[in-house]
Amino acid sequence: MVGGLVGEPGLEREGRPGLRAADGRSDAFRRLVERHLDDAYRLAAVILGDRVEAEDAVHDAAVAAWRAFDGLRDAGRFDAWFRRILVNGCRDRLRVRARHRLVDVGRALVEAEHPVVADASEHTATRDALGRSLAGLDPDHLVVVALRFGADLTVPAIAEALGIPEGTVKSRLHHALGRLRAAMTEVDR
Amino acid sequence: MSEREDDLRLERELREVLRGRDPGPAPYGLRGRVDRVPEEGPRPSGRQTAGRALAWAGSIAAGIAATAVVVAASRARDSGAIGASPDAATGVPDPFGPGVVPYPPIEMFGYAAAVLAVSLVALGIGLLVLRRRSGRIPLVLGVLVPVLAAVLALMPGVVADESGGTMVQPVVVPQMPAGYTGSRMLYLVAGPTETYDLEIGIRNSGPLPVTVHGVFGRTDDARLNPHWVEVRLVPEPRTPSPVTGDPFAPFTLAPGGWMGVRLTGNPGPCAAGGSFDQATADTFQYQPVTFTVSYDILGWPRADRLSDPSSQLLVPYRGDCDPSAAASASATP
Repeated sequence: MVGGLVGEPGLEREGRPGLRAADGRSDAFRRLVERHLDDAYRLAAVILGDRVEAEDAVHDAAVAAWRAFDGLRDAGRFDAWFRRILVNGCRDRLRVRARHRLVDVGRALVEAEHPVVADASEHTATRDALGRSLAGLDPDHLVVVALRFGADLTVPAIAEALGIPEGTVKSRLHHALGRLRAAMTEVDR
Repeated sequence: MSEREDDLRLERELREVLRGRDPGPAPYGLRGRVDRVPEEGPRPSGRQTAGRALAWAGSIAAGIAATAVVVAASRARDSGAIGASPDAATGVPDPFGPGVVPYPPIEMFGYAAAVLAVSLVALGIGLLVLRRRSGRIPLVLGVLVPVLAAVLALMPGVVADESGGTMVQPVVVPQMPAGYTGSRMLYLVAGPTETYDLEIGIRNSGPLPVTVHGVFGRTDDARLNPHWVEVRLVPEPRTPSPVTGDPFAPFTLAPGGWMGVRLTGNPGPCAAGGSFDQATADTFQYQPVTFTVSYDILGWPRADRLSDPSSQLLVPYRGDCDPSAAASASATP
């Protein structure tokens, strides 16, 4: 029942005669998702590092959010609520990826035929190394790094998005940055 | 380069790497897919709801049934043929209730095993229907609860401590034939109105602290059970009578800890008492006295029968004595 969802002006339509409650709920959901879609897509892409998978992750998050939409009472909380669903979904995808070690056969064949020559410039080498090290991070750590430096969220905001204590966020950041720093130092030598 | 500069550079490079992953605004195709979610996105179907309910119900039932099997198995191992009225002297409830409880009814195993099997099938079907992360919670519960129960029910608990041994007064220790290697026979020879002392040393042989709630000394024949008038804690083994230790109260034993418990009672109206001697030993009947300790490990209730392999305590009774008639006769002034 959307009647309890506050802070979303369009929902007043639900009270109009002849407009079904289900329609009002669908409209409200579409409006809220549309408002946050770009940010959600960017966040998923930053975490996953893959645009196609990011699209799937956002779609899955929208499906999950729609399933649980009846439980959301405050439209003002939609952003944080939807972000948490999305981030959890991305983390699950990273875990599955780490378990199954998916290999893009097409890309592997292309790279075998046309090997990529490493850029000699220091910046590119460093970023390549950081990119590889990021991909090797534990999913929990990677998500925290992406939220902190990709989405520019504060530590309390990350803690809220992931539903974990701030101390845990700091600890994961510390460990992840340690590994990334080691990768960067390796390139510098 | 200082560490601070290193950190700033790492942060800068990291932001660049992550910015490189930023794909810009959501593509049109994604907008369309998300827009259609309210029409096409699956709301929780009746099948999924039923699957979730089935998984949870199966998990809970499996946990209960498996726990029942574990408890029944551990009780069958420990309790043996025991039972009697609650012991007034200890002031704690009898762990097995009044009356003789030979074993947990054997049907209990059958019912619990059947319920367990059905529950696990229900859990499996529910999880297959769900195939989602939420299904892991009932799965974990359904497995962890029985495992935890099994660990607490089967891990080593209290044992009779041989160094403290079983101390009995008054007692006759018969001379055994040369070469006899069996357990030592201790004949308790207190008369029907006399009191006698039994002391049992309890040691915690497990890795976790245990709290002892009661010590119960009984015979196999409930009608001939001793009547306990006093139970005291004896911190030092083989303290001479009368003991001045504290009256029994539940106590905690750390791993490896020891405590003696002294039970003072009389053997009832049919006891042979001083009339027992080895020459006429064949004319008496004997009841072995055994001890059951009621305790808990982390709140999980246990009751173990203590046994001292080196000695067996026997109370000689007059074979022609009817315990009920003798009791009413002794009660009549």
